[in-house]
Amino acid sequence: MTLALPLLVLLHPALFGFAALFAVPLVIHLLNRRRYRTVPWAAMEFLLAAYQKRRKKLQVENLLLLLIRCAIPVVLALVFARPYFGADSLLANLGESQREVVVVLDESYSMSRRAGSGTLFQSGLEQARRLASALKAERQDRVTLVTFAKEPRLHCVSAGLADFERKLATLSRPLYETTDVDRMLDLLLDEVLDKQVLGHPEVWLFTDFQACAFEDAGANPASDAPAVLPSGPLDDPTAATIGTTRGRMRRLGERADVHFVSLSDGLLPPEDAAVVDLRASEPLGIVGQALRFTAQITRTGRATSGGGRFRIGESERPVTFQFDAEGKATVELWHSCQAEGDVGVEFRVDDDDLADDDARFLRMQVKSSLPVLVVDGQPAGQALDGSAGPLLLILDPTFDPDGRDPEAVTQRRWFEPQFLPWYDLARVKPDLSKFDAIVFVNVREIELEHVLPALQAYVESGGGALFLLGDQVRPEAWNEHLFKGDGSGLMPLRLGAEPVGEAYDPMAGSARRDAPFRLEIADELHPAVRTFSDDRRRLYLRFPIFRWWPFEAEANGASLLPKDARVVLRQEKSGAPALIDHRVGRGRTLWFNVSGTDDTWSNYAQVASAFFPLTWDMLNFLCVRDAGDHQLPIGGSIARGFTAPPLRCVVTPPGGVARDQQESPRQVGGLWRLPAYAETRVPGLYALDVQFGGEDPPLHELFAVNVDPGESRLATLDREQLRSVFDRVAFEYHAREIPTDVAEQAPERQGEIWKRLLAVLLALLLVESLLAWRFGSYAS
Amino acid sequence: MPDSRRYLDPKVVNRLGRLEVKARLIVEGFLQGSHRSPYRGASVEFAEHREYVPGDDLRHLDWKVYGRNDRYYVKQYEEETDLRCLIALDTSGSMRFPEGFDVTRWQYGTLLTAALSHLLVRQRDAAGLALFDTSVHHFVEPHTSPGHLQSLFRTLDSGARPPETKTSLLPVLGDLAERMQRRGLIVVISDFFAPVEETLRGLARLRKRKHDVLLLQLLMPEELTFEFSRNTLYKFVGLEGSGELIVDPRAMKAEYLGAMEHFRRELRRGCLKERVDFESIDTSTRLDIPLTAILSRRARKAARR
Repeated sequence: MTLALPLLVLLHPALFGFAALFAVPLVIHLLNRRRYRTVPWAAMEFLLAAYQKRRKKLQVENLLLLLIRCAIPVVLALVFARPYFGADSLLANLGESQREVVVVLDESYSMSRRAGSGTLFQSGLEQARRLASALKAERQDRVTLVTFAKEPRLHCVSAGLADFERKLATLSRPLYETTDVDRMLDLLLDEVLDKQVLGHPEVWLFTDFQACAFEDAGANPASDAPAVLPSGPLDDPTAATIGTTRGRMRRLGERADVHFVSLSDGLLPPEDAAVVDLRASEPLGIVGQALRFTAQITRTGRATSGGGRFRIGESERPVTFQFDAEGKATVELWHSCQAEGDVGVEFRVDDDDLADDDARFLRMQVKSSLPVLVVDGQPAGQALDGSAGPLLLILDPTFDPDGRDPEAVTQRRWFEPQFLPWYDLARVKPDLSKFDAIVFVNVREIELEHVLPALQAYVESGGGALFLLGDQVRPEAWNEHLFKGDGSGLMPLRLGAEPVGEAYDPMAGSARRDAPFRLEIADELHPAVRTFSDDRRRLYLRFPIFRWWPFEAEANGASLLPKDARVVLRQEKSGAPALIDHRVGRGRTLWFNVSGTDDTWSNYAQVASAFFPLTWDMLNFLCVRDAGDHQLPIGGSIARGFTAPPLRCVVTPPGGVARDQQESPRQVGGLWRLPAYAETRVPGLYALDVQFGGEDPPLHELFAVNVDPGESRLATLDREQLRSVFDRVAFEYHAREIPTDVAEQAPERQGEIWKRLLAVLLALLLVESLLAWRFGSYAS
Repeated sequence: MPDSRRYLDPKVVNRLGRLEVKARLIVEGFLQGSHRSPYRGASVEFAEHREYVPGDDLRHLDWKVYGRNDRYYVKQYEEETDLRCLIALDTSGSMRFPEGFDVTRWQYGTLLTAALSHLLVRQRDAAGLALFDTSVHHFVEPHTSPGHLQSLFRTLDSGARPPETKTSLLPVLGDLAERMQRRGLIVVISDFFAPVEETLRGLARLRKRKHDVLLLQLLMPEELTFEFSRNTLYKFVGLEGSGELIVDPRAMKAEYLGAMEHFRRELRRGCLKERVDFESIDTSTRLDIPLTAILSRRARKAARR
């Protein structure tokens, strides 16, 4: 931070505080006047005569000495504070003339765009070298190198030309990151110019001036800029503009001479097809299941069609696509995976002017089936006769806990349910980690000593549990053991003391049944209601519900819903929650206050168009564990936790060499956690291979790392547009190349004078010594 | 025979006992050196014998007495001497400078006065004493008898005055001119830190009475060199209540020495004009120097008769 005084600016104003030491010689002078030896003197008359003769001269000499001694700490403090005159100052000529240049180079992946025989980035490097070649080492010219993409990087500060060249040589290609101009400007203003670089330097910005990066400051969530530029007049310097890109750039213009070097100026518009999205129809796949893979492509340029290829596992298939009027295209591919495990999916378009956005990756988890534990709260003699019977058949039409039809076994099954009466849960103590989901159907309570802790650990480590509440439920037991006020319990809200509504008696014989309520969707995008996302299918949810368990969702008008919970379905008229999704640790619980097991409570089980897909969607949702953790941005961390301690862990980057993770895993919260691997600087599929001891099978997982498609918007700002956006910034504009006359211009006066002040200080010290010897010490 | 010349060093002799002893030792030291009595006094009429003391003129030794008694006696004649010497010693406060040092100006003055008196009485010259500050407060008429010396020494011992006592030379010198009816030698011992004009006017009155006047100005080495050892401020407190000054001596040295030199030059010039002998004595020097100066004048006077 600098301090501007009327004539000069101090780089380190805090050090100028030492100037207060000027009082020390003054104090010494005052103290010395009290210290003397007393001597009786006979020839006083002559002494007094001599003093009268010398008095005035003595006073002048002593005052001069005192002034010099007081000035010394002031000058010393000024030297440390490193003052300089601005280029506009009348005293600028007092400063040393040297060039202080700050080179700022865009290294986002849009700079990989082809430009002539190289890329924009290579062009930027070449221009930076050209600028440096015009500087003179003998003049002590200094260079600072800053590159920026998502984060700015400071490579060297006020370095010599040789240092600068060395640092520049380490840059070969841009990063696979987007641009954050505001962060770069903040680094320049707060760190480089205020604290480290002196005087009034030149700032040379080498970039393609993407419109999305420079014009719309609010598009970057990392910046503190408002979402939109202020709507006031452009010449109105209100405080609202200070935190924007424009405001920052204006401050930069006040602090330095700004040069914009547009590396894209004059180039033909690029032809680029960017893959902006790749997804699968299901969050995880089942062996043999037909999955639909969809890729979205956007276009910069005039191409109307394009080509690419899907690569799924080892299978590769070329595709073609057509762009619509808005320059968008969608490509679909159906594929069924034939083996269990992680499958890498890649969609890549044909080569174009920007290769970094030509591909997108997806990790697909394929399972042979999804094991689901169904806990029946009201079992009968046969599994299918209990309250969970319909559910079991939905999950597996071939379900037969007693014996299997050999032919049925060969049929592909999506879910693989295992049935267990609720009272056997504590006795059998199944290994919950082997199940992708657990369903509690009308269970009265959870055993506390073994089951509840195991269930809590299972969910927190990523498991999913569905609770269908029926007439067997004991709310006091659930409220006491599964609900916690801080939201960390398995249950998000307390249950009411009694079920609400009047059970319907089907034997009553009335043809019209007035349903107390029907369901409506509260969260349209929730995967648990995916099937009902269109207007036609949502009507299937309108089955009558007569009796249900209420959630205590409000108190005194305030919602009691935890922040990690959301309502998926609610009652149509009252809005009371009916289906709640609650995140617990890394897993989830779903709470449905309708069990579907008792038709006096609702027609849920009878409405196949609702029961079947809703159950399927809920279980599908619960079975997908931390899928988001396997889709990472550039720089995202690969981190996993395991219930068993891993012995060896290897990460293989795309096209790279497998690397053993040297750091040992640590046990945190019951899980063995691997140290995070964050060197995901290149897009692609990263493989994580983990070996365990004992009988635990090894693990092979894929992580898909993708670039941010926002950087693929290659529209740039031309000179006039830049002048319009940064209308209050004084800058020099250069199209692609630095003119030689500008590069070799006379150095800007930096006006730094600390060296001259040091010479003044030495002169003062010499004069003080001479005068002190000549005059003696202070006299009255 | 022990070397008595060491007693000519005022620091050495000042540490000894009574003033009478000091005076005798100074004289012995003086005479032991090359300072033979310059007295050549002669008279035609034999008066008496007296025992020989070293320094007596051997021409007056009575060999007949020696042959008879094996003892040395010299002949004394009537009116063996006609020198009447009055020593006027300043007792003002400035004579007490520098207190606490080996020899103050006053002490040097008393040693000189005592030795001179002793020497003169031995030579059968009449020695008298006047102590003064703003006026003559002690006066001893010049006499030749040995017993007179004790009176002089007693007067010297009791002559010290308080430090704030001032000096006024004009009335003092005028008073001395009145008191000394017969022509003689008046030796004024002082620092003469007084207006030069007044001093010269006083001297003129003495000269009017045809007296021979010798001014012995006693100055301390510090007053002559203005050298101080410590690099610090000094507070100079004037004796005789003449004021105070806090100053670094180094800053004032040149001007002070110039003022001092100007004063001495003026005094010397004035004395020359009045035909008064003037000697400036550094009190760190040996006592034989002023003694020689005095006795040389005495010898010149005797030669003019």
